[in-house]
Amino acid sequence: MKCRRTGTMRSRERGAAPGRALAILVAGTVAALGPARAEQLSASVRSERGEPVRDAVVYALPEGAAKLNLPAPERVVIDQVDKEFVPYVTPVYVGTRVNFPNRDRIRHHVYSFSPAKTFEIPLYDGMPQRLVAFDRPGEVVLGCNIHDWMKAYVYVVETPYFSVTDGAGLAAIEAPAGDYRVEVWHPRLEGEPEATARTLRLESGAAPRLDFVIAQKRVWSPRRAPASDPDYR
Amino acid sequence: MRGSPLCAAFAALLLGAPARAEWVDWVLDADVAARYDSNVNRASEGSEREWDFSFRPSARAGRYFQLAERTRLLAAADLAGEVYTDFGQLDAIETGGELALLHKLGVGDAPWLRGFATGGQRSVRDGDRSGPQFTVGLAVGKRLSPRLDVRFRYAFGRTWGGSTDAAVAGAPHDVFDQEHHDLTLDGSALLTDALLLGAGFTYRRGDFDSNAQQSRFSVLARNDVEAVARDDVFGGWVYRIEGNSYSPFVRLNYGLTDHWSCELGYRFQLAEGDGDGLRYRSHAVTALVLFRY
Repeated sequence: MKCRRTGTMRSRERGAAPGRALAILVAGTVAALGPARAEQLSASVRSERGEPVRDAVVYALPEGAAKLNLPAPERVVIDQVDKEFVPYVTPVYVGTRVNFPNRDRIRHHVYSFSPAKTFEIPLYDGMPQRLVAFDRPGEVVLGCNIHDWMKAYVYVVETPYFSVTDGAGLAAIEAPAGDYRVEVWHPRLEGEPEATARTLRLESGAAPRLDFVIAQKRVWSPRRAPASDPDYR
Repeated sequence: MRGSPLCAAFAALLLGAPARAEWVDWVLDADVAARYDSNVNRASEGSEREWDFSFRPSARAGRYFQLAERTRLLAAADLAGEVYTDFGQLDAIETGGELALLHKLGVGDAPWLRGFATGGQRSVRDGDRSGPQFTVGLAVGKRLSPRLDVRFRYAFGRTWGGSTDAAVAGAPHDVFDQEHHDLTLDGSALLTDALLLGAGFTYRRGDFDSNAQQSRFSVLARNDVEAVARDDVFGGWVYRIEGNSYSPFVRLNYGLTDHWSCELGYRFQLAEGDGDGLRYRSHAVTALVLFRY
């Protein structure tokens, strides 16, 4: 089952100005206003043939803002079930640590040679001994050294606001009001995600929708289905 | 029963529990094949060739033992049957097993090595063709890309036959006691996400048997005929010859699901004795349905 992943940001309460009275006033004002309201942005992704694209990562990069210093989610999980990675595509905010629990009754050996993250979790069962931190933006292709058809993607983005399209090619992102550059990435995307960029001002209560059409290239993966051995008799 | 201690040891290997019995990579395969052979009696004379269809269900059960990071041991038991539409005397049941050690020389698309040994018993309705058999060999392979992979395989095989009837007084008649060395190169390529094309070539050096309806006493003078016996299945005589065999093959496999596929294969075989005049050709077409757990 594919999960739609979303990220949210909460506003940071400001520190106190010098002076106890001013600090109390500011703190009280902030408390009254509450955290920044999360607005919704929806997106659809289709191929050039008009078909909905599943497992596309839609993400909103804040424009004109200082580099975000928000803590990344503590943990994201990518499972191994029935000799497959679940989910197939996982977007994460840069700096996120990912756990790779093995829920199969056999061992796996997870690895990646991608420039954005090269790592190995040698043969293991159950929970691995350590989480894997994804601290560079970009595409990370996962594999298993024993079952060569096993393949999945981690896409590391520099924003906590992202979502993955479902079977209908639809995704929803929650983010505070502001200016954003919205991009799309997919394992089969032809070209760079930057080429899909659309700018957007997200306003309170607006709930806009962006429609993307992406070109797709052929991406090959080893097949799991069995084939005979040429047993010479 | 001879071999029962060996069978018991093999069963203990298959079923014996490791320290953590739940971490077992089981193997359960089942195939059903229908095969056409244009020269089932391996006759060198075109007019004497017989063709037939056969039906072959087979199953394998076993497990992998993870010995090290990139090293696995396979232990499996095999069972197969073969039923012919015309030449029922060739109907057979095969039982056996395989031990194979697989080692990968790295991570990802690194090359792999596979040493294997198979052994078993082939019980043919024609008892002359029944007997034990074993194979040992080594294979090396590599995935060149997500679409392409290639393998090279060497195997030595030995079979023993039953008690055959002499055709010529004083001449050896153990025609089905044979050994051979095989070299196989094969590769496969994904044509689509589900369609796989495989092709390869096998060279064999060693013994093969060939049937003839007419007397070929003259061939006994050549040193490539090692034994001759009466052929109770096809009539006439069956010879054991030492020589070379060349066999290109191609197969097209379509993945129905992650566990099921269907396949159509073709193999041509040309076998030539070291001497003069004894060679046979055959064409075989095989349709398969495969299941892997």
